[in-house]
Amino acid sequence: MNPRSPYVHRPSSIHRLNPLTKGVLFLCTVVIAFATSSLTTVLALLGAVVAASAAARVARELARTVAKSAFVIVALIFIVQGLFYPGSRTPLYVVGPLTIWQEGLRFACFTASRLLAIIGATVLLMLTTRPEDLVSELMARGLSRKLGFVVLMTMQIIPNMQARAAAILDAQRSRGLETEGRLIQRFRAFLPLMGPLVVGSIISLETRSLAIEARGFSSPTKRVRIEDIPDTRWESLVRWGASLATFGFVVWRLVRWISSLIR
Amino acid sequence: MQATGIKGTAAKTTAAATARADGKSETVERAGSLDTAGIILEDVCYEYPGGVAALKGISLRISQNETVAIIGENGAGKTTLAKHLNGLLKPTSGRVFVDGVDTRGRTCAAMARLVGFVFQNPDDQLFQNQVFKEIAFGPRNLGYPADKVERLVKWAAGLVGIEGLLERHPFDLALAQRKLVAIASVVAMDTPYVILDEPTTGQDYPGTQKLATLVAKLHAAGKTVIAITHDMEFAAAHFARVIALAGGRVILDGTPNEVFSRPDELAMASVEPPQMARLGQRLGLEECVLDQEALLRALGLV
Amino acid sequence: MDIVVDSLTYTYPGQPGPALRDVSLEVRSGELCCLVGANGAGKSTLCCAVAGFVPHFYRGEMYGAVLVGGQDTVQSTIGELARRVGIVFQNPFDQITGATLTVFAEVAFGLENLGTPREETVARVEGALRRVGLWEVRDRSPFELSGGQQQRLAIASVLAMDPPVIVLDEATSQLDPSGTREVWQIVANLYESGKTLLVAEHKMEYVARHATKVVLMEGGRVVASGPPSEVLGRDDLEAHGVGRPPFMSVVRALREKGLWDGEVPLTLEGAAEVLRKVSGR
Repeated sequence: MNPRSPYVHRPSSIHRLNPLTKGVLFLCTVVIAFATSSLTTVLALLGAVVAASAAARVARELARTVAKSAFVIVALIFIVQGLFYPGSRTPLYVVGPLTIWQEGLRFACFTASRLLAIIGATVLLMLTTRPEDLVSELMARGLSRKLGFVVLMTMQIIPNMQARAAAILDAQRSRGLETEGRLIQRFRAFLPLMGPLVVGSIISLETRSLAIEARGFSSPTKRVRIEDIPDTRWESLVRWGASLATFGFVVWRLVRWISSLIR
Repeated sequence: MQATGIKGTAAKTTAAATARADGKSETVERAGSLDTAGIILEDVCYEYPGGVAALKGISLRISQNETVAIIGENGAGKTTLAKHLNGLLKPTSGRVFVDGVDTRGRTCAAMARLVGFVFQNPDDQLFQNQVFKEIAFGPRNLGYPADKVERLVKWAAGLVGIEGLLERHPFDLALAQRKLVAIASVVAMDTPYVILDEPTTGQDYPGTQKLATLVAKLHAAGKTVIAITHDMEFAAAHFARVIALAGGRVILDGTPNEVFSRPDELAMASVEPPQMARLGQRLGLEECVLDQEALLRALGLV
Repeated sequence: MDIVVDSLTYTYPGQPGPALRDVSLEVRSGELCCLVGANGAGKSTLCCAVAGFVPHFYRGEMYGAVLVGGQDTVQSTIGELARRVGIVFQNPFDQITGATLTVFAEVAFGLENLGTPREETVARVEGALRRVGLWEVRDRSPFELSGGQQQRLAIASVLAMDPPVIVLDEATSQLDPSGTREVWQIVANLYESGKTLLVAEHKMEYVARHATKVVLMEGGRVVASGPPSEVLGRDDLEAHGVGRPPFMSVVRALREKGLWDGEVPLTLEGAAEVLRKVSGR
């Protein structure tokens, strides 16, 4: 297992879902979250994400990751919108020279929930789905072999690059390169650190392409996978249903928006 | 042959190398005495973040102008040990002194004046578009004037035997040649201590010969050379002292003759003695022989 | 399956001079042929030519021909060649595809690409992993293996596709002694099973012991080729950038002194035997 992937293996029905199903549901969540302007809808999405994470037994991991990545921005949203939301009329509290507005807080609630729903859905997908499985499933359904492979390789190579960056840092410090201290020093250290990383990656990429070519990568025959990821008619139904519902929702929002413009 | 030449002179300097696994107390005593020259390790333990103990109490002293080969299988702690000598790693417990300087108080970049360290993978350090500039990078970091930098670059390139490559682009060279460039770029810093991490890996016969010459010349220039190596022929022929590590501990420390005459301990370190020693052992020789002359003499064939 | 290289001259794109100059070579079916010589002698390029990467992958200018099993590599696609020639490179880490999560899936990768039926793939992957001694770690991530294990994984990945010809391009040069030993055990085992092997190698102790034929290269040319005793027994071997195994040098010294007039053995045990006879111990 890739030690740097956030994937957590748990025996749950969410984990067992076909990665494509999870991918589609994730996209639907994101699209609806962007399209809607109703706090209720956004809260419903957020609730669904939390419920799904509980079913997948990763609620704690989800909470931790979301809190870590979204805390600062959510706090900022509340401060900025609460104080400076344009067109605010109803003051809630007055603290010295600052006024907290009701409209601002309501908008902040909505924006923050929307953001949390989107981040939550993303984290949930990552926690319950190995990216390799998702890409491999997409490739089995017609995603180009080359494109799919580039995605897979990149996912694996980024963590490796992090490990190499550490080795390069050691090597250059051993040659007297100061990497700590003033900004100008750190700036000077940029090239000696980035250069080997880029060139080294290109060199290993060349070998890697040779190695995969030697394993019939360009072979015109259709790829046969050793293990199929299980898929059911029920899941396919969910995917189509969710996609159509999302599509319908977006169309409905558009119609409402356009008619409001005409009026 | 070059090899025997080095050993003749270097053997004298090993007299100072008394720090054995069993001589721990003696080393500790010495550290406190007036003589601070050389590298001194006092009961060094190191644990990687995550709790893997890589070094479990290493005490030894490496004197100035010694040539030391560190051997042992992968994971024995060789590179971890070497990274302590230039301050890249600081001991979890215990202390490391280089010429009296405690590494804990210095950044690695500051230690670079004293100890040069060549990494295993040259591609971790090469980044300039010309071999000359690459070799000049270290001396420039040490703040030497341009004329001195140029002199050092030519001197180092000469020692490593790559004078002919100075104008080339490092990445037009083969891996083994890039490795020689990386070695020259550290040698050019003209530090009293030079550490080589697996210098012979991937080298061909001429490359290995160049490295043997380098060790001899650095030794002749008064430097201390410490090499981590898997190549027992190289260790036996070109170094006056061999330290074998296993499981984060020093299990053997002495002259090549002493170390390679202990096949049982070497087996613990997954090390096979050099070919001549193996031949001697097969023929039931009592003493350890490391070169052809010694073998033939011991067999009464000279 | 045999390999025939016929007056091959090849220049990498953008390079001033050719990397291979008029190279001719024949490796018979079931032979274990070792390529020896200094870095830059052309060993890797020749390996790549046999696997078809020269000229299919690297392009460049090529004259002459390479035939594997009678078929011209230029006329074949890399995909077709993958079924005939398997190649293993120097750096074990760089050969991991990065597209798979387990050792098992990594070995299956090639067979999946070739569209092999599932049951057959599973059986062949198991066979290949058992052969290189990695069956026990089949569920681990390829990135968690040691260098020696990764190199054995690269060999298994190639073996699973069951090519009659296997090329190892300095496959042991980045490995420690035990990794080297493991790889050579597999090579010897493949030779026993009748594969045709082309192996570029710096560690002459193994070349002497295992090769049926040795090709000495220098500056892109073939300097000599023949049985190991002949090529490694050349007086000018070192001058061509190849070090003789010390145990062979000892026996040669005995010959010079007139103490031994038999063959120079190709193994350390053989050399010990000679020394025992000569010294009377």
